[in-house]
Amino acid sequence: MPFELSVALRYIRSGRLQTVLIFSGVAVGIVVFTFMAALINGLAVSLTNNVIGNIAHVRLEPPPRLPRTLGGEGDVRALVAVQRGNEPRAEINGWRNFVRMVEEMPGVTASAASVSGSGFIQRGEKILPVSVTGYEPGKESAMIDLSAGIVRGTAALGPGDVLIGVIIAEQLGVTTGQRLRVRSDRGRERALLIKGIFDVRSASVNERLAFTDLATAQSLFDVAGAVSRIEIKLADIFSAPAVAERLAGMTGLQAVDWIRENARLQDALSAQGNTGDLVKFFSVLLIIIAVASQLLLSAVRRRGEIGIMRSMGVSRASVTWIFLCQGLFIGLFGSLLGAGLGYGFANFLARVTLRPDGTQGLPIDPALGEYGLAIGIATVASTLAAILPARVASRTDPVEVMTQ
Amino acid sequence: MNPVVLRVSDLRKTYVDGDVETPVLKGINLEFHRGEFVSLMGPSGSGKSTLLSILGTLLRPTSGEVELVGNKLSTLDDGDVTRFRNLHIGFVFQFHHLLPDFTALENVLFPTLPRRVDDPRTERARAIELLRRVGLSDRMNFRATKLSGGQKQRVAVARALMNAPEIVFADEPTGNLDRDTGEEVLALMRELCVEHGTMFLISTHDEEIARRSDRTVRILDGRVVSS
Ligand SMILES: Nc1ncnc2c1ncn2[C@@H]1O[C@H](COP(=O)(O)OP(=O)(O)OP(=O)(O)O)[C@@H](O)[C@H]1O
Ligand SMILES: [Mg+2]
Repeated sequence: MPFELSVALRYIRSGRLQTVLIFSGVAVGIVVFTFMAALINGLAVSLTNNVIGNIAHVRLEPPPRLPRTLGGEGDVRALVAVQRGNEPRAEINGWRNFVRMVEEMPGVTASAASVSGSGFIQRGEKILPVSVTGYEPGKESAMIDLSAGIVRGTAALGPGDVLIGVIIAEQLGVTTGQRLRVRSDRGRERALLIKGIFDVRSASVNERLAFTDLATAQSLFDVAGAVSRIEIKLADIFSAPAVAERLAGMTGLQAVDWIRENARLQDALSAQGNTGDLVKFFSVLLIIIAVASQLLLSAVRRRGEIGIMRSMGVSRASVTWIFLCQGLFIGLFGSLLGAGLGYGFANFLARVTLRPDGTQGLPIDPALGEYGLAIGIATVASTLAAILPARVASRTDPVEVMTQ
Repeated sequence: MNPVVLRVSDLRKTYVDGDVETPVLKGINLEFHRGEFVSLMGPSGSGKSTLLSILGTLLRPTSGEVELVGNKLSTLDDGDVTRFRNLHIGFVFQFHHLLPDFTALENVLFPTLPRRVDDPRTERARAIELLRRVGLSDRMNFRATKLSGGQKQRVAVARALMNAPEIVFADEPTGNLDRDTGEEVLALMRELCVEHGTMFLISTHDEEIARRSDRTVRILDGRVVSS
């Protein structure tokens, strides 16, 4: 070990109270840093999970159909304004082939073809707007985990059955085993048996969605033999745009990924990330200032000793290294300590804010505290903070040993 | 007569502080021989510390030449001077004796750190022997702060000799010690001077020290008045 390192270590070891203080300073900075990271990252994960928990990661839909335009034959140049929305409902024919293609795609964990549309549920005098989705048998829980959210009855759907959310059930005053009238925007009407009532912890789902089997939905929305979309879940949610692009190319269908659909979520996450980065930046700044002032003080206090060293033939470069190494050690050991404390603190908070039902009160994830990054940044920052004190120390005039 | 280890010719030093020029050394000419024990006397402010700083390569002169063990100081750059000091010069100071965070033994070994060391065990044995020689075998592993003033100064003497330098400069080495302790330290330096053949130049206000030296250099108003 070069002697500069061992002298630096000795200075740190013999610093006692000062060493304790500066280590605490760095550690506190790192606790703030890692806590912020664990909180912001945990929040991002929980928000993302909340959003994607109830939606498909990629959705295949029929390509938008444009109304045919007449004219424009031959050499005639025509300007045509095309108005969309009057065309008949688009549907996917031959969907079983597409489903097979999707299922063969690596990274796809689930897929479900469905027919959906809007309509009204009627019970006596009361009428509520709903969005009805019919899944292939056995696929009811592939996109939204309905079976886990069932509070009454069962999620298994047969022909003529319907699942509704708790809010609808409450508003209509109905329960399982009773019948409801469902009328679609195509004007078709069916009486359906309430097979189950679900609560998936999402108000919009609980109050707006109703689920049937595929055949029932096909007849309600007049799309015999076809489906209106194929929904897909992926193992890696962030591969969605790439998967969507590939599927669009393979099938000729329109593929929409969840990231594009939830641009606002991305904006919110990046705004949160920026706030976190700002706090992290200030915590690193705190470390730099603390280390610089501590070492500067030490450089001034040790003038006599530095003079003795210089008189013994220790070079200015070596004096510089002695102080840089002190900065490095303070940053490294202080941040190791801080990372440990930060992890403990995040764990503690995650535990005490745990709700009785097992959900998280504070969306903090101790595993996402960016500890390695924090230690790396603190070590580098602390070493850089030692530059100024090291210069001051190295410029100590050895003649000072002659005077008091 | 032993060979010359230190030659000073027409040495001048003027401190410049802004517009104020303070001429301190005004043409010093001196020669010192191997193994000589020399005291340097002069009234306070006469430039003793300044002269020792320049001869010890801690301070550059305004003009004149210092020739140390055959090396002209003016030809060495700062890096050379630092290495030269490590190998050829030892110091004993009045106020700053030891590095407080290190033990007596570590202090004595410190001058070996900046240079190439072939066998650490030999160096360690030499340091232990020097500490034994200054009567501190039982204090080797004491922190410097746990030693008395006289003990510290004896460790400093051992340390000054660690790299077997040709010359040791001591600036009022007994100035901070009581009479008896000062006597002891001085006697020790005198003995080591003979044993190691090291030249000692000791600045002092103590006529007793002057009497016990081989030779006394007296300076007054920046000039040598007798040597
Ligand atoms: N860095 C400096 N700048 C300006 N003047 C200085 C400086 N160092 C010393 N002097 C002046 O030089 C003169 C000689 O000082 P020096 O310390 O060499 O004297 P000294 O003989 O060692 O005195 P003492 O016996 O009191 O230790 C003094 O007048 C002092 O004020
Ligand atoms: Mg003096």
